[in-house]
Amino acid sequence: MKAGRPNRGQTLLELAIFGSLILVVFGTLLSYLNRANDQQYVQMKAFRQALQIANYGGISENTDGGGSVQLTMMENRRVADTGAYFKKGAAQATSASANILWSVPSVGTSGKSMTYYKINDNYSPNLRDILATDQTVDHVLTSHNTEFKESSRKLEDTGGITNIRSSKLKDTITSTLVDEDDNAIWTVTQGAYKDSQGQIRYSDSTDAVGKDVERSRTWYTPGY
Amino acid sequence: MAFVILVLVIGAIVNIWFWFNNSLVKRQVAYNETRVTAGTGKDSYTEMVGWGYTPEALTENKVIVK
Repeated sequence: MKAGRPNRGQTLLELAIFGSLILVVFGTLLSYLNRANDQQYVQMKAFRQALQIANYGGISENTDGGGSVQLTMMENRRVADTGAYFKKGAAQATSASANILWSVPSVGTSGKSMTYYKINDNYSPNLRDILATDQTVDHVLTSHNTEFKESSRKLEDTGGITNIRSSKLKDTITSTLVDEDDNAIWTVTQGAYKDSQGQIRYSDSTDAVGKDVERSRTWYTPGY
Repeated sequence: MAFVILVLVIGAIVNIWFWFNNSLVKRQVAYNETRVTAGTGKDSYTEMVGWGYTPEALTENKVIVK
């Protein structure tokens, strides 16, 4: 190899190796930052939601407000799946809990003790009312059932080419609160839906469970 | 040329990293500013639970080093 002579093969090889490494680092960084972002949000949301419940004396406002609440929030957020289909994504669970004592109940009443789990959009019943004396929530079992279909169409005419890519996602998550003896305490089945801001959330409503979340993208390439 | 492209890609990755970090900080600031009001008790908690923060969009201008 003569000095000063450009070696394209070497340049391409270096780009290929470093490019792959950079993409791996980028994917790892993105995954970590996404996690940190979601964790901060859920921790803040859990505390503020617990404040509201403790002030209200329940999930909805009532006249016998005030009490202590232990709230555990679990949210499933969809993130891009860099290993497979980007649009399919994967639901990752993030959880946080908060304990609040709001010690100003109505005169003549004692503060209410409450324990709630909020899984995505749904609250459990007050677990203090349904758990036996020695019974506690030991862990949460979740199961996923995901169906994903993707299609692409290309329409050509004299003006240009229109590409349409669309996908349908049907994701169902069943979460069960389980005690130390693996007895089910509370079960909720939730489906994915798109909210008013375009974010995918999970709910047990009939508009969400068993329904497809549709997304599509259209772009036009003019002819010459 | 390859070096320029590499610098642009690394610059874009760092910009995305900084955007995430700034989002975390701004959310914390908005949360702290509403802390006292949230603990005071109101008739409606809607805005307190949301603490009035909307994340900034990650746009092309923020990512690409020019």
